[in-house]
Amino acid sequence: MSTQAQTLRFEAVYAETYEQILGYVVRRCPSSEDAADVVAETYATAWRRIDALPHGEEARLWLYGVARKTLANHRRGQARRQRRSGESSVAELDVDIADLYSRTPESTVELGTIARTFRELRDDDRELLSLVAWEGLDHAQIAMVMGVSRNAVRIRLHRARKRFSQALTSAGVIAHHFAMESA
Amino acid sequence: MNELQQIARVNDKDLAGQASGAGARALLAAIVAEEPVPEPRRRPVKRFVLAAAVTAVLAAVAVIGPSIVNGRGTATSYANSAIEVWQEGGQWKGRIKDPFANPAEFEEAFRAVGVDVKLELLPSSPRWVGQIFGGGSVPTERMGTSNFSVDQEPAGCALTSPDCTLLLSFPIDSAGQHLKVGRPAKPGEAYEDHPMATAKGRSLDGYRVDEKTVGEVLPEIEKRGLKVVYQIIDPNSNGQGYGVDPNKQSTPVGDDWVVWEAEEAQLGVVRLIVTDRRYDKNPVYGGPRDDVVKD
Repeated sequence: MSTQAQTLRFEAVYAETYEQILGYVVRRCPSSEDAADVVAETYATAWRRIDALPHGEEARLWLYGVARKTLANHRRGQARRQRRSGESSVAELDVDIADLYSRTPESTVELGTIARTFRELRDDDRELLSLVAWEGLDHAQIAMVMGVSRNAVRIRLHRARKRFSQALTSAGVIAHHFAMESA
Repeated sequence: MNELQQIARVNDKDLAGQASGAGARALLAAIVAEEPVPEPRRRPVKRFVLAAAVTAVLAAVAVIGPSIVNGRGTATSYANSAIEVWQEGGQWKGRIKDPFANPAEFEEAFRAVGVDVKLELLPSSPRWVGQIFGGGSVPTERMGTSNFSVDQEPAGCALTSPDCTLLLSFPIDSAGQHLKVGRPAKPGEAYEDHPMATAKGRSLDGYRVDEKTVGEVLPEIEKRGLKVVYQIIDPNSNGQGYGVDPNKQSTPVGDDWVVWEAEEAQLGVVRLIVTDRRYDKNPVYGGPRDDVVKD
């Protein structure tokens, strides 16, 4: 049963986290249509599981976790466009998000090589490095998003950085390791 | 702002105000208009049982119209002396019969069935033999490598034996993928992975090289019958990480140089990661090795 309290709480969490979840998804989805689907499905899942939605700052991390799984399902083609929240609402979302995809980020040859090398990393390495660089998460927060221990995050992150650095070296980027720590 | 932030499509700060946009509001309204009824729990065990039924359906589809399945009207199975490829249970399966085969043979088989996947069997340290150790999506493509798996058949067999094969599985709709799988290295072949040599079970098991000088570690390495190559690194000024200048690698390394870690380079050869002077922090780990590696 949906209660007024549940609705109010969900609306508050939605307002609080929408831009960050949108950012997470847009940075990882190749097309705006996919991004709209994943954002819609992430929040639809959160609504269905409102009782499990944590309070405070942890809500955002929990939603990153849901978005991460939704994205993985979407990539596997298992999600079959579950537009249970209504076609029209996603259509409007499509328009908003398409606008984000029409922007052209500044680019240089070196950034292009870095971007390509980054895309060629193993999925789990890329996700860890992204959570640090893009979402600005620390080890404990990543542990919560990924459902693993802090220590596991630290070790995997170290290895991911090492592999990224090696891949950059192979790609001819004499760039130094990036300051991939969160701010 | 670092380079990774610069390659991001958007930054969160660019998204201010999106939550009050028409699309975001419409989505919220549509979601809360429904009852928050939990979905029936997906039980993985049940899904495996279901998979058998799904397999039968997919097999039927494959027979009726291979063009529906792979979109190119090409064969749904193919075999040459290196690999055998077929569909099973909604997946592509590839039995690698000869991990040392010419890569063109793998390419030929995948092309014949219309699969856009590049498979490389590369010499690796024992750590990654028979496993996927690298690769990823070719730029602009969307699927990741996490849905690819490799199993040894029979389980745990030695890949150098002709009876030992590798079974590769991946989703039928995979495209634009590049996969690096480890195979045993031939004598003199460099490993394509870069595993730490000081971990348990590796060449320098039980011996720490970090923060010692080259002169200190060489006797132990020689005692173990190993040869040495060097990678000369340039630590970052903040102590986190390092760069490698390919043009500097032929500089002669002195006994007083500092070693930060050792990697397996090839069979019987370790690669020491070195600098010409001491730094406050181990650049490989951004601090003490003990903070990162638990032996």
